[in-house]
This record gives sequence, structure tokens and C-alpha cells, in this order.
Amino acid sequence: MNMKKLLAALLACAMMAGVLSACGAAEEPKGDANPGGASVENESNDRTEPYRLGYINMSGYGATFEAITTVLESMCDAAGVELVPVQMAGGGADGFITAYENLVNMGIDGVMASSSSEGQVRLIAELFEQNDVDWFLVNRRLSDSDLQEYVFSQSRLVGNEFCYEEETAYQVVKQLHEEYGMKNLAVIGLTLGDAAGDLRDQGIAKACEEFGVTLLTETRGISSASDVTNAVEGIITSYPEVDGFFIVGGSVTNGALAGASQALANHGMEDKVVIGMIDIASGMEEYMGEGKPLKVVAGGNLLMDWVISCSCMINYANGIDTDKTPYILNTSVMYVKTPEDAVDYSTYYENPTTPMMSGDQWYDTLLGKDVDTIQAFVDNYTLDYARSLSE
Amino acid sequence: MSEVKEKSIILRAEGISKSFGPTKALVQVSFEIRRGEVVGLIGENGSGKSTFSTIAAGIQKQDEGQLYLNGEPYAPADITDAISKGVAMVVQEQGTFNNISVAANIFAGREQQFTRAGLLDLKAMNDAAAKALEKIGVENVNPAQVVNAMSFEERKLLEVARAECAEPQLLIIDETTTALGREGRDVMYRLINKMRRDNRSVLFISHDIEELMNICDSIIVLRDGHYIGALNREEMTVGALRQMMVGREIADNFYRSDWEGRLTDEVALSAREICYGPMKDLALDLYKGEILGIGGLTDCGMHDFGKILFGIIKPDYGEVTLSDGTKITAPNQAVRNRMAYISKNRDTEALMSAGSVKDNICLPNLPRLARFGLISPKREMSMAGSMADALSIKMQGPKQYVMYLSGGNKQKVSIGKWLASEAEIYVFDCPTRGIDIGVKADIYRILTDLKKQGKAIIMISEELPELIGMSDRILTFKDGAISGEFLRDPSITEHTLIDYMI
Amino acid sequence: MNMKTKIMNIVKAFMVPVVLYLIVLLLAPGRVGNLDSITSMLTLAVVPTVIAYGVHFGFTSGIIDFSVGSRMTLAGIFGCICGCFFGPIGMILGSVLASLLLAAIIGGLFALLKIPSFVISLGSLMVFEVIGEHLTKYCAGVLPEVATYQYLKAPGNMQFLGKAPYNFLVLIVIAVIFELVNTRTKIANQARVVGSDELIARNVGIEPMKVKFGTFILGSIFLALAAVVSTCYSSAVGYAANMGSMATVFKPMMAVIIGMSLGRIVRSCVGIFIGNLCLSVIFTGIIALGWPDNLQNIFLGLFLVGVLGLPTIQRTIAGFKRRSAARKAHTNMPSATGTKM
Repeated sequence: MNMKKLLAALLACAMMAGVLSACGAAEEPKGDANPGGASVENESNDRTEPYRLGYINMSGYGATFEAITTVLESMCDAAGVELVPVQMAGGGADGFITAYENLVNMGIDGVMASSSSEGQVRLIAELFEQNDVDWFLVNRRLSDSDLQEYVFSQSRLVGNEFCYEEETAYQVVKQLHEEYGMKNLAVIGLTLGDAAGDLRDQGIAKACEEFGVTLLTETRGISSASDVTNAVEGIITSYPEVDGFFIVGGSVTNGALAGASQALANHGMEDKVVIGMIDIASGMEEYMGEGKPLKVVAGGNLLMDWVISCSCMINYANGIDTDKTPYILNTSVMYVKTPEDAVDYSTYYENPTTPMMSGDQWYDTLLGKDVDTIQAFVDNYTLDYARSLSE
Repeated sequence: MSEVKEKSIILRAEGISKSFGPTKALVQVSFEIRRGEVVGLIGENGSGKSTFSTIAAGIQKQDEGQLYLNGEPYAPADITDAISKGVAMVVQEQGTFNNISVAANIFAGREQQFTRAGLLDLKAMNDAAAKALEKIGVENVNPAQVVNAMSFEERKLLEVARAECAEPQLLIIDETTTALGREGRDVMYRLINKMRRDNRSVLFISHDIEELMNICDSIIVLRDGHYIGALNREEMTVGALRQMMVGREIADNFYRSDWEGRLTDEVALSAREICYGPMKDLALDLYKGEILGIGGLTDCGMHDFGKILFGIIKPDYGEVTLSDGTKITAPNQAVRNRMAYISKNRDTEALMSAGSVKDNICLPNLPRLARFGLISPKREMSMAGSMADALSIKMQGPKQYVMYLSGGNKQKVSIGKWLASEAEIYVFDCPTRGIDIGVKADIYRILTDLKKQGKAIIMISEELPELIGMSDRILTFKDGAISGEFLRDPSITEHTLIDYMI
Repeated sequence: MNMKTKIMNIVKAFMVPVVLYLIVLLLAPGRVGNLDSITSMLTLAVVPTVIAYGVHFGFTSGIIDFSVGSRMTLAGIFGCICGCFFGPIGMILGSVLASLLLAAIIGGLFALLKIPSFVISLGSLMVFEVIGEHLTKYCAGVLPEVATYQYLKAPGNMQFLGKAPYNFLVLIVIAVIFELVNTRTKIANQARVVGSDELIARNVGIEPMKVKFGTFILGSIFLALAAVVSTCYSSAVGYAANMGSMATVFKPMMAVIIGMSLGRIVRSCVGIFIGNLCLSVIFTGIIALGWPDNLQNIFLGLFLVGVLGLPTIQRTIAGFKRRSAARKAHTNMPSATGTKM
């Protein structure tokens, strides 16, 4: 057999071995599986080992995700739950699926699961159902009714939470219009097909119609600060009447805010045009205040998504409200409007290194509480409250 | 060897050997080239001529043996080193660069001489290029112009200028004249004579025995990688050289020996009112069982005419039709109607260099090889193998890439694919260009056999002996028009045809 | 070529973006028919032109390099750090040094490993993006006045370089340097030779890998300058992630291709700028017309195909004219049989 054939044979064997190992059976399921019905009898009271709660650690993706990791670690530490992180295995949809498969293979009891798209959710549901893993669907509002029915019928689903993206975008436009008189809006949007982006677009359209704001133009898929500057420059010169910009994903393009502000400054329009943004951007306080364009930033839901999910999973594992699954909760956003608020936001709420609450504070607010209390906490959470936690 | 005699030898090869895998390209080759001498190097394809010349030019290294230049051991590290030591070469293949100027082409790799403070002095480079071209007798070429619009011949002359401007002591010319027309060849011969007068030497590789005999002071013959012998001017005869090359007698009738004309009066293909470029209202009929020769100067339009017949070029006016009235307007249609076209630009238009012998031979025959839409590898190998045997193609096997074959064997592959397609009408354009005498004889035999089988053949050629030796009928082209028609007859000479071509 | 012909050729070349502008003007007269808009279109072409100058050398020699964006980002980040300590000169030198180092790494890997350039560049881009991210976050911790967790700020006294008319002056200077380098340096000339035919280049004593390495180095200087201008233009440089920086090279590459096709009539530096100007006119036009953003890519693609297909279109038209003339001549001839043999 010549060398080429030998190498090809070895490669084929290696690939076959990989395929077979990936198809290997998961660890023995924990507790009895309930084939039907929404609620599962929980045996956590008899548990001798800590509950193993998995999630995909995306702290490499920015300060917000670092803050998420810090908060989850703090909460799980306080609750005596073992937090099992796994890195994203590559990018895109496959990265999520592979990461969850890895978690299942690591023998987790439960998982907080987000997804890159709605289309993935069925696959994720099947994976956790087949392996008897409790799971919580994070930051995903299911628009497809069939999918909704399927997912919510899964016995292992503990709950789902999401943010009303449409409402958030609507509120930003509303505030820019009502508080600053904005009438002509240009949108710097996310790539078409992004689920959150599409919902936000709907919110923008609804607000524009309701408040008589003209949507002048939109531009998408921007990948760098200078591209944002280009886009804003182009819009300003083509639409001199523009008085508002909406940056739909402020954390998607690093430096987007700086780029947009610079373009406005180049044309002496920093105090004539207002900017609204969804997603907190690092350093945003520099662009807020008197004579500065950034007026409203909606964000904070991302961190709260995980706070809700984690507290629900921990409480579920401890036998609280197990008959009420699947929980449906939603996060609201904070609206940051002043430079002081922007600084405090990063200090007291979304701090990458310091968790928003101590162990006792978790127990005072979320741990050991029922679902309704958790929802009320989220609904009433404000920046002032976050500040007060540090006093 | 005496010191005086040693000094007069510019290059001495001692026991040069080179192998490529199992193929022995050169085996213990030894010979000398003296100062001021023009030495021809001749041999069949695969005899080792190009291998030796590339070793001497620094393009590759020998496995064994030693070269001496001016009495000193000579082992150039690369081509630049060889040039710096006084050995330059003009290669057989295309050696110019598209999208850059004439001057940049001439001085490619040697820009340093025009660099001051890191910047190129373009004016100096252009001036030097103009001088270099003038030196070889080429005028009216703007050194700043981009070469893209230049013809193959003009670009070949640039390569000659490139080699010559290094003022080599030994210039190696590797089968360059095959690409040149009359004017270009004259330039080459003037340069060679000048080098001789300047007491510099030339190693001239060509398949054209008569050309070598006219130009060279001596001719070295290689065969199958071995040095066979050298003949000086007094000893040179065509017969002797042929025998040394091939190792057997090649009779003078390696063209056709008969004087019969075409076999039938049945028209296979007609061209009417063809207008394209210089061609105005050209018309001809091609008969079955006929070899119709078309001859003329390089740019008389006959090469484009061949492409028009096969449908590659669409004429401005006129049509090409088969005997059943089918109009030929595209190559794929021509192939479907059992036509074949063998281009003179073998490497760029007739063969897939990156393909195997099998791939090339089977290419136009895939529909015939396919069963229910699937092509059988076995049938492919069978077709390729039988064609290779029939044509005696020298190769390692049907899977060998054609780029590694010699020119003659490539031509056989090029012809073989059409023979396998069992075409009825053949358009050959310069079928024996750049091919040694042994393979030439083979190709002429193929042409004769095809004629006897009743095939209709057009042979476009710039070689008058070939036209006279092989054609049933000769049409001469001049300035896009047919200037003369000659039926096969022993009385026809080259002079007869030349008068109608110039 | 005499002066009159040269001028006519430049006018002909500039006709392309002018015609595009006129089309946009016709469709949206109220939006683009003002000096601000024209200045904006010219401004939009500046940074991609400088990037294209950097891409040009490698592209000519046959290199496809997707790491351009990530190298520019890293150079920009390093430039901002140096700018913070050493002022404007520090920013430029820092950018150039970083860019040279990155080019030496990727060029060295390419020359050593001899694997396709796009493979090396894809791998390098992923590494450089991660380095950029970590460097940014590190700076956010140690140099909070310059950096946030997402981006670094350009020194305030440099930001004027990104604005008209200074950006145009900078572009002219860089264009002159590019033209000098492109026509008068050995590396640039040999890059064209290698790009034309590597095998023949080797046969004339040129070492293709050495030349290609040289193009990485040469191009990196322009990329560094592009990073400086871009950072000053947008006042910040943010790190890229998930191969987002790959998109940076596409428009400049298109402009290089357009520049090459215009190379018969204008110098490369002008042709490349014209290419970028066309793209910026299309971009601004789409915005001005309020058309969906995804149409931009359709128009850009069609435009590129159109420009590159122009020679073929011209040849087809010429052939059609010739055949028409021949048909007419034959229709008018009393007898049209020609010489038959």
C-alpha cells in the first residue's frame, strides 16, 4: 500500500473514531425521567453532590459577558451550586451546539442555554431532553408558534426568559422624540436576519408611525468605527434634516459611538443631533451630557437575563416552584441618560470584576424566592437600587 | 591539453550526468565549446539538449560531472550567477512578463544597476533597453510600452535582447528560431554572427538541420542522453546528422514518396466569402482523401483562417459549411461534426499541461466513453493506452502529466486525441513545429495514413519543404488572399512558392 | 504619450465616478446636489484608498491577504498607545513599527511555510484579532484616559488629519509616495514580474518568495498610515472579533482591481482612488436614495463586473460593427463570390 493510501486509511480511521466517540452515550441520567407533563418531581433534597449548572462562558466577548460570569460565579457560590463553564467551540450555530454537547458529556444536571438563532432551539431542546438535563432558555423569545408549543412541552424545560426587544426600541424612539423633539431618524442597524435586530426594527417602525417620526434611511452590517463615521457622514450630507440617529447594537461594533460622534463633530452637529442606542457601550459617558449627542442608552437586560436564569435554576434545583415550570419571565431594560448614570452603571451594575450583590444580598432578593418574586425584583430593578446595594 | 589550447576553450563539459527519477536525461556527456565558435546542438526530443543547456545556464544542477568555464570549475548557483559569470540563455518557451514594460522585461532581475538611493532610474533603464534592442537590430520599439500587445515573435526578441545585454561570453539559444518568422530569424543570425566576430560563443539548439548547417561551425549530436559525436563544417551532411540523431538511416523520403493527388472529388468542407482581418472573400473547397497545404508568411492570415474553419474565430463575413450543408460556427459544433483542429500553439491551445496524457486524449471523446452518463476509468485508460501505443508516445504511463513530455510526444498526444475521436476532417496548423526529425517522420506517416483512409486534411505550414513534400495541393496566402494554387508535382520548388508568398 | 493625451486619459478615467454621481444626482437631486455631499464622497474614499495602496503590492504579486483589517486595527491600537506617550510622531511611528512587525510575522510565515497566502492570512487574522482585543482591555485597565474596554481613542491633537481638507492633503502626499514606490522601487517592479509569471521570474534570477515577503513589508507601511488616518477620522479604533476585520480588505481590493483595469490610461495611484471614489459614490447614493442597505452590495457587485467586463464589451461591440460593415459591403457588391479554390 503506498504512502498516500496509508495516510488516507489512517485519516479515515481517526475520523471514524471521532464520530463514534461523539455518538457515545451520555452519563447515566440523574433522577427519574418523566416522559410527559411539564413538571418534574425534583430529587434535589436528597442530593449529596452539588447541583452542577452549566453555561457557555463568553467572557471573551466583552465587559458585559465578563460581568455575567462574575455574577453567576457569585450567585452559585452563595447557593452552593457548582457552576460548570465551557467555552464556545468555534463560532456560529455549530459553536453553541458543540458547547452544549460538551456540557452534557461533562455530566451536568442543568444548563442555562442561549442560542445564536431560533432555528437552533429545537436541536438544543432535543439534546437536553434526551440526556435528562434541566435547562433554561435564556434571552430568546420564540416567534414560531409550533416551536413554542414543542419547546414548552419539553419535560426538562425549567423556564424561558426574554427581553421585549420591540418594546425597548420603541421606548428609545419615544424618549428621543418626546424629550428632545427628534423628528427625522436614521438607523444604524444590525445585519438583516438577526432576530433581535429584526424585533428592534419593528419597534422602531411602530414608534415612528405612532409619533410621526420620519425614518429617513438605514445602514447595516457595519464592522468598524470608521465605517460608522462613513455612514453617519453620508447620512448627514444626504439628509441635512436628520436630527436623530439610532445605533441598534452598540456593543456589536466597538467604537461605533465614537465614530458616530466624531462624524457629528466634524460637521458641528454634536448639539443638534441626538443619538439613541441599544446595548451598553464602554466609555459611553464621554458622549453624554450637555452639548453631547448621546441621550438615551437602553441596556442592562443581558446581565439581568442571566441573573433571572441562574436564580430560577438554583431555586428549581432546591425544589421551589417546581410545579410551575416552565416559567416565563421577561427582563426590562435600564435607560441610561446621564454621564453619571453611565459611570455608575459600569461601577454598580455591570462591573466585570465586582458582582452586583453579595451572598447575603442574593438570598435577600432572589435565592430561595418564588418566580413571582423574581419577576417583581427584575421589574423594579433600577440604577438607584444598584447603587444602594453598595452602601 | 596545452595551456594555449585550454585558453581557447570557453566551456568544457566533463562527464555530465542528470537523472529525473528513473529517466536518465544525460549520461556522461563531455564536449567543448571554443571561443568565437558557434556550436549547434541537435538531437531528438528527449536526447538531453535542453537539460544540458539549463545546467549550463544555472537553472538546474547536474548530478555528476563538472563544467569548466574559461578553464575554471563552473557551478553556477542560479541563473543570475551564470549571467554574472558570462553565460546567458534564451529559453524555448515564452519568457516575457505581461503587464510590464519592454525595459522592465529586459532588465527583470537586474534592476539593481539602475537603482540610485533605492529608487529606479526609469529613464536610464529605458535608454539602456533601447540600446540593447538596437544592438540586436530591433528598432522602432518603445521601451516604455507594455508588452501585452506585442506578438510572440517580438517578445521572443526581447528575450534575446535580455540575454545579450548581459554581454555573455557564451549565449545559449534553445530552439528559439522555431517561434520566429523570417525577420526574427534574420535578427538572430545577425546576432550570432556578431558574437562570432566578437570572439564570443554561441550554443545553438535547433531541430532544423539545414539551419544548423548554415549557421554553425560544428554540430554536436546527443541521443538518449548520450554524446554521440560532433561534426565540423566540412563533415556536416544532412544524412550523417540524421543517422547520428536517430541511430538509423532516415531516407530522404520521410515525406510522401508518391506523386498522386487527392483520392476523390467529393467535397468535405467549403469556405465561402470569408472576410476577417486582412482576409477578403476567401473561398476554398477541401476534398476527401486530400492533404491541402496552405502556406505563407507568419502574419498572412492563414493561422486565423484555420481557426475560422474550426469555428474558433467568427469571421466578419462568410461561412464554413460541410458537405451536408451544416454551417460550422463554433468549436463544439465542429467536434460534433467530426472535425479536428491541432493548433500550432501546442502548450497553450492544444493541451492541458496540468492534465495527464489520459485526460488529454480522452477529453474530446468523453461522450463516447460515457455509458448512462458515467465515464468508465477502464475505458479511458484503454483508449489512452491504445492511442499511445499506436503513436509510440514516450511516457511513463497514461497518468503522466503532459507538461513533463518532450515537445514531440506532446504533439503526438495532441494528435492522438483527435485520432481517437475518429474525426473525418483535420485542420493541422504547423504540425511539426519544434519537433525532431524522428517524430516528424512519424507525423508525416500519420498524415499519409489519414489521407489513404479518405480523411480530408488541411495542413497550414510555414515550412516550404513540408508543404511541397506532403500536400496534394498547395494554396499560397499573401496579405489575406489566396495568391496561388499548385497541384502536387515534382517540379514545384521552394522558389516557386516563395514568389507567391512575398 | 504626450501631455494632451495624458490629460484626456485622466479626464476619461474620472468620467466613471462622475457619471455615477450624475446618475445619483438625477435620482436624488435634493440629497446629493450640494458641496457637502461631494466632499463627503471624496472623504469616504480617502481611507480605503490608502488601504488599497497597502494591498496593491501584495495583490500584484499574487497574494490574497485577509489579515489587512486585523493588522490595521492592531497598528492603530499601538499607534494610539504611542500617541498617548509621544504625541503625533509617536502615533505615526508606533503604527508603522507595529505594522512592520506584523507584516514580518505573516510574511515570514508565508515565505517559510509556503502555504497559500489566504490560508496564512486567515489564521493570522484570528490571532491578531485576539491580540487586539486583549491589548484593548489591558489598556482600559492601565490607561483609562486612552482606552475603554472596547476601543482606544485617537490623540485629540491628531484628529484633524481625518477631516477635510487635511485628509485630502494627507492623501495626496501618500499617493505621491505610493506612485514613487510603485514605479521606482525594485520590490514593486519585481512584484509585477512575479505576479505575471512566477516560473519565468525564477528563471531570470528573481526569488519569488523574497519578493512576496517584501510586498508584505512595503504594503504594511501604507496600512499603518491608513490606520492612523482611519483612527483620526473616527476618533477611535475598536478591536474586531469573530473575523469581523476580514471585511476591511474587500472594498480596497475591488478598488485595486478597478485601478488595474484603468492602468492602461492612468497611473495606479489615480486609478485606485477613482475605484474607491466610485464605490463611495455608490454607497452615498444608496443612502441618499433611501434604498435598503443590502442593495448596496448588489450594485457594488454589478459595478465591479461592469468595469472589468468593459474591455470585453468593447471588443464585442467592435466585432459587431466589423461584421455589420462586412455584411453591408457584400450586400452592395454586384457579385460576391471571391476567389474560389
